[in-house]
Amino acid sequence: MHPTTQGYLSLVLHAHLPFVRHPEHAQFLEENWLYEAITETYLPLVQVMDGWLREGMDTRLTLSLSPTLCAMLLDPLLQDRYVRHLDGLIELAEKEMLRTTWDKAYAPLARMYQERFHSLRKTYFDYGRNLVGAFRKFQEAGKLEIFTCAATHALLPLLADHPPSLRAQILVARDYHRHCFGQPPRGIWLPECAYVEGVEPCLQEAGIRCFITDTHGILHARPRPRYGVFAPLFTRHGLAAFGRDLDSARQVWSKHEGYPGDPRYRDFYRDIGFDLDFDYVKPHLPVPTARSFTGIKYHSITGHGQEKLVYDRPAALQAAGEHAQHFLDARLRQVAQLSGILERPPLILSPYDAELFGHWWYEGPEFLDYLVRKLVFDQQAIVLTTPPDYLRRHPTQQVAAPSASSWGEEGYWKVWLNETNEWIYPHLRIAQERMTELARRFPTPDPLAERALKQAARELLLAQSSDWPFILRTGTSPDYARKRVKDHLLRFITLHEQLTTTRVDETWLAGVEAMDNLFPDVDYRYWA
Amino acid sequence: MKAEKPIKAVKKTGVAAKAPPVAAAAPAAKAKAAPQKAAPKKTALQVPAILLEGDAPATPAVSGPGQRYALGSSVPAEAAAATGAELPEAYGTERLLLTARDPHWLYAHWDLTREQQKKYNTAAADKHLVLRIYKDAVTGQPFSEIHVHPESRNWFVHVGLGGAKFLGELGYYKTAGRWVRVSTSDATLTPPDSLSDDVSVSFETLPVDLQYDELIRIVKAAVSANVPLIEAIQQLRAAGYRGLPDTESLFFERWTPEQERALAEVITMDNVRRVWMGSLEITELIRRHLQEQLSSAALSSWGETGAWSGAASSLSSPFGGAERKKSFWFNVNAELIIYGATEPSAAVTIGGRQIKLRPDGTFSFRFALPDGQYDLPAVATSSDGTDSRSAELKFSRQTQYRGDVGKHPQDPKLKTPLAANVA
Repeated sequence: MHPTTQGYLSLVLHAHLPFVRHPEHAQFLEENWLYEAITETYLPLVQVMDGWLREGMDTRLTLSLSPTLCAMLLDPLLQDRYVRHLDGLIELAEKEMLRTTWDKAYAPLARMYQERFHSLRKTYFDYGRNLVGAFRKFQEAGKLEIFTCAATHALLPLLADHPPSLRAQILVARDYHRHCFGQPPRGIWLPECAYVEGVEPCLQEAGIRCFITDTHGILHARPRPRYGVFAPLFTRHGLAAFGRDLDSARQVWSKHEGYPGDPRYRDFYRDIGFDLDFDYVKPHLPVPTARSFTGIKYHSITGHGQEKLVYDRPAALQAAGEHAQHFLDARLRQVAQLSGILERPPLILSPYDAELFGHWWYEGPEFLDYLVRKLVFDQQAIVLTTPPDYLRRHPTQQVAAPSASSWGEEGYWKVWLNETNEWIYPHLRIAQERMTELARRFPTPDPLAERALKQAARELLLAQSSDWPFILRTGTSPDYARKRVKDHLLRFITLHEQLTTTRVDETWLAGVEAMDNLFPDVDYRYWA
Repeated sequence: MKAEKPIKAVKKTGVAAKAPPVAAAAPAAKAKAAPQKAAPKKTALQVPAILLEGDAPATPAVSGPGQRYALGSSVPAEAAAATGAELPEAYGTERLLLTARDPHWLYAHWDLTREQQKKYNTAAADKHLVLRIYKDAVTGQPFSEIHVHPESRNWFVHVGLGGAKFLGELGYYKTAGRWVRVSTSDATLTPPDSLSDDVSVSFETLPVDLQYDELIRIVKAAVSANVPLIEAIQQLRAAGYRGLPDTESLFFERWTPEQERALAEVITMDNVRRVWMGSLEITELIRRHLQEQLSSAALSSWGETGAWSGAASSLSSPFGGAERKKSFWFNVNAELIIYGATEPSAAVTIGGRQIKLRPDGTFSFRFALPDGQYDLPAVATSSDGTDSRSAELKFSRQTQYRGDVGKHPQDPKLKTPLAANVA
């Protein structure tokens, strides 16, 4: 530890999208979730990290990449479709440059988008369209700690009454992570930070050393944690549990105090997909039948009640720089205060949804860039770290049992288990038990049965995604979520029936394999 | 160049108004287009209906199932789950599932088919089933007892007690108050929702680079395999076992009530709850947005409940405030569309700037048109450079406003663009 070190900061980004891939349709609306996130978050993050690497900066960032997201980033069909999408954006930006030729206010912004999209396209192709490979490069350079997540982002506490399901979610994730990144994960982002003690034996089996809970997961630990969330706890199974820091969360997340609400930042909703002539933007909309977002936005948030001002990029970057400085100053104060109280260097762990940076908060990647640069160059009191790095420096920690918790509404599982989505769980319960029966019944299947067993495993995993009950709860696209749960469960039921009472229909199976094609090497025996 | 296709230009006036049928007519007349050059014939200006569409977010038309994605199915149709298929209503296992949802609520579900449900309802004195919740064990007085609706298969039960173990029992009362059990559940634990009273402290050392396998091998030799790793290490350490990871120098030993109090002031559960409120809104909005903006077509394409779930633009931004809340308003914008076609291999410039042709040789470009005079020469040159055609396009726009109309105030310094400025 450097003599001037007063504490540590660990920035953790969680990147996840549910598996949405519809080869059976030429164009599919929900696939745009991925395309937008690539354009607005993942590629900008890669560019920012490339800058740090180029300049030889000693940076440490933690990023969890969910297995479903990795599967989509690696999928050739979705890669092709993303390029089509990005080319469409470039075409629109070029049309915009021409259209705004005589419009002094908007012309520079049209050019900004055109340049940005071209630069993103270049980055995408420089990495061979493989963003998993891009992140792997940063890991191999020692700059990025990549965490895994549950295989399909299942809310693990709601699977806890069926341990084989927990085990499969974790071990399938571990295997796929190893496939993607060449080494097993040292840490896991528990989906929605949802923790119960029952997950630990599987985490230990997977060789995972640490996870993150929301603040109360640590504060309500038994016995009481001496250092609050400013040091991890060792659980009974030997995992390190890290708790979320509140102050740094509030500064970024809060509706009222949060940085992303600064009037100088780009407004999220005001998009030319809504503002311009419908005919004109139609070819660039996710589907040509409804107005929606294109990604080109010309206005800043502006003050309440004012007509939206034209986005001023230099002013917005100025704001990002000020906010990075403010964040750093606040952490310095926090660390100075805490190290005085604790008599040991505190750890501040700040986890965020990765998609906040860029997708929602357009200047988020620049904020991150400025913050990390300030941390590296402008001060020595705070060391930027990752959870495993911290544990390497501080292998002795308090032993206590974290409390069951999540970072969702009210802190537990209400978001994923309520009147809108409870109907899912009884079906899952039956399917999970049947999967275990199948795995035990077919220890050495013939090749066709093995394919059917693996597909059954994929369908069950997909049905377990927490995204579907989440969408049902928020009521945003409930029919899509309902259909996804239903489709995967029905496909599972059909496979189960074919394996146990009729015979495997190879043609039908091939069709399902072509659609739900994630985790090619899934080991169905994990359910046994 | 073998054939010359005409280069056409139309001027389009974009209009967004709350009352489009009435308001739309006015700006077309006011925003004086350059009809001589733009319209092929000197007839009364016919504005195509599509040009009068509002620019405000329109409620999308709801299409029928499959209509939107009628093209491009490459996967066997039968591979997609049959659209008519439904999940079973119940499986008839007669089991009771009990799951704690938070410190206050349990979720119970009983898997009975309609026939089973009917059988028990009929057998019950009060014609419905009863759900009993027990604390710690299914004995003695139930913690609570709920008379459920005859057709119910699930219930959210309020217990209001964190850190406790609950079990459920489903049954009914036969005549004379005799209880008949149908099913009992496994135990479920409600999460604790308060600081622990246990303030004992113990530390352990676990080097992160030492594999679990290695650690487990060390402890297995001396401790039963069923003891969790850390407890096994602690037992070994207490027994003076050598070969365990060295502990960090313990600066942990000093801990005073003053430190405790000072830390408690920094971090309290009240703060945690406040942050939940903030972060929940933002987290949900981020993900909801991803889902919401893109949900509409899928929603209608599945042909289920038809209502659109709402344009994202109608949401109020947590950071920006809602849009479009003012009283009567009227935006008038003018755009120029230049479109045409030539040999796909030809080079075309408009205003001196080279443009990209579509593969079939067609092109279409728009220009926002502030007030002013504009010259836009359009030139097509054949691929071998030997042949060319050109068109001289001139436009002017002069707008007069009455009331608060202009949304894009024009820059008075704007001059007629030179070809160089267009590129």
